[in-house]
Amino acid sequence: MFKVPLYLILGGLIPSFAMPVLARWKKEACAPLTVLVCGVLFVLALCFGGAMIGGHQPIFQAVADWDPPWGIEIAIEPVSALMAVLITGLYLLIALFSCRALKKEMINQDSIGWYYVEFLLCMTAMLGLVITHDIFNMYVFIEVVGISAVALVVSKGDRYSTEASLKYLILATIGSGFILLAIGMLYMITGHLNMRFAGMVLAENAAHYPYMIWIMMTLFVVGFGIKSALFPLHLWLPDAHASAPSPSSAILSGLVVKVYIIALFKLFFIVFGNEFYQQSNIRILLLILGAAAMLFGSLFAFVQLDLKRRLAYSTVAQLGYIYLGLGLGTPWAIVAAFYHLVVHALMKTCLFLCAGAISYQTGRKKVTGLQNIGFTMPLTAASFTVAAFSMVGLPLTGGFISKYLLAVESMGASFPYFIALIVLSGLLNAAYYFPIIWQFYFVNEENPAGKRVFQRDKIPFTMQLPIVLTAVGIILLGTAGVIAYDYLQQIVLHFLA
Amino acid sequence: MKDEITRTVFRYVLLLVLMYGFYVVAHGHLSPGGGFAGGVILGLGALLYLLIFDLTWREHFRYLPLDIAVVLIGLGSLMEAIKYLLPTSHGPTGLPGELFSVGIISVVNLGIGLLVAATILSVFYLMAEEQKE
Repeated sequence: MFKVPLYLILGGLIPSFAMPVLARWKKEACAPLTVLVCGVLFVLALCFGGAMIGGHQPIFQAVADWDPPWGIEIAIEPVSALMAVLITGLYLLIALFSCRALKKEMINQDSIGWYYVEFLLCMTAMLGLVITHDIFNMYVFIEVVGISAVALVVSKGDRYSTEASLKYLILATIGSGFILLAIGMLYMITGHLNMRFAGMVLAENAAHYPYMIWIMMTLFVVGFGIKSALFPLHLWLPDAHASAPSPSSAILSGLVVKVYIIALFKLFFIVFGNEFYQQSNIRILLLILGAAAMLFGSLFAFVQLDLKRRLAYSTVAQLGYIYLGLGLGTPWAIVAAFYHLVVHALMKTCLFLCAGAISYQTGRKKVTGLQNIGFTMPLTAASFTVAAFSMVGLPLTGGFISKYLLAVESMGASFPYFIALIVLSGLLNAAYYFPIIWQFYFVNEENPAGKRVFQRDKIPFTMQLPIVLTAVGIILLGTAGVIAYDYLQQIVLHFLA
Repeated sequence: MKDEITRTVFRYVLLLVLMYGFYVVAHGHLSPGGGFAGGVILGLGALLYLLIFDLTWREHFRYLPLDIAVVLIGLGSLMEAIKYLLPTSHGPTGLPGELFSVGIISVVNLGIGLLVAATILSVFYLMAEEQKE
């Protein structure tokens, strides 16, 4: 059981294909089954993660016993174990949340069962995307993630989500076209689809095809950039995130855009190799676009009045930090990028679930109408505050550590002016998150003179638990993050050695 | 669609279509085609049957094709997954011209065929249902 990474994929795929039977005859059983599947996979992923922390060698498996380079190879490395734990853990929490939340958010109640089909399919494809070592298999999983993510958006069933998902579908398809073209070129040069073998051949022959390799890297960056909403290519993201049901927004923002970054990272560092990446100019492009994303994403978020839309633009800005870390390219910068990736997945999940919970209890969706939430929903508001502080980068939260590492490392990589940009972006974050928190606790327009008392949140326990747990996770990463830090160092050394 | 000519002709053609679909599925390891292509033929045959004979004539059976399709999706995916759940070994690798010479791969092909056919059917059926309401 333990040595077989394939069960991570099959464990989600078979239930998701069996789910239509339940969706047709026993709708109420879909949500508990999804939670169960996510829980089992989380335990399995924790086993792999524990093995990797314990210094186990990477686990390779040839699917159906066809050895690479002919067959498909999947591998548990430190980075894929980290992402597997992150994906399944957050999925467990989001599945718990969506049990009750979807009943209120979905316009078409009959399609709730079908929602879980896409829900599990998306998780399976993301797990496959991070653990596969075969480039074409990766492309297949990219398509599955793309289509099921579109389905997660459109499942809400109203006009806006339909429009947003159409936009998302078209742009995501263009992105996978770029990726497919690059994969074709890679296959043309190397004759292999396995990442390690392609990397070996490429290392020998790279000098013969310099222009081809630049084109390939650019195509990969553009393709994955569209899919992971790198700044000027982010157009689909705000609509899709704002109009989807809140569990879908959490998945899209917390995980879907991240796995593409992981895929890009694996391609760059396994296929092209660290040495080649350091010499290439695409690194500078990532730096510039990441810096632009940090600035303009925050500026755009500043003028949004819809809460989920503001959070969506904030995602664009935070993805800029991750790309900035990748673009700096030093080992510690990549550690910082990974740290921010993990922390941002937790923060954004927490924030979107809070937005869902607030609209569940009060029906409010605008940032201007959030007075008194701090007293009527204290736990939710406290979690929102923690996540927002982490977004801004205040100490004791996970966001502080990642931004601090990035700032230090931008000095180390002799780009000191990025420190100013990181501080400026943090201030902009503060400018659009603090008014919300101010309204939570200090504005009382309905009854200015009255004394306010804390009440219990009137949302179900299954919705409260994920919100609180993600907030606790953020604080743990900010205070006791040494373990994570060591582990990320191990990841980076595994690739850059 | 109420057209005597189509109905009369298709009553006989349907068998051929389905038989050809099963032929392509079963000979997946010997000839071009295989689970996916054969599944598409099977699914389109069933779809044409639904379109021409208009199954809404009996309210009771309205959901029957969808139900069958939904069950077949689960069944087909399980048959596909058998390949990975069993202990890994290549098994028999096939002989030219011999139909039953690949062991588990035939089952997997059939699973893929059923999965594809049922998916085509259920996608069509869900869209048609949506239009009616």
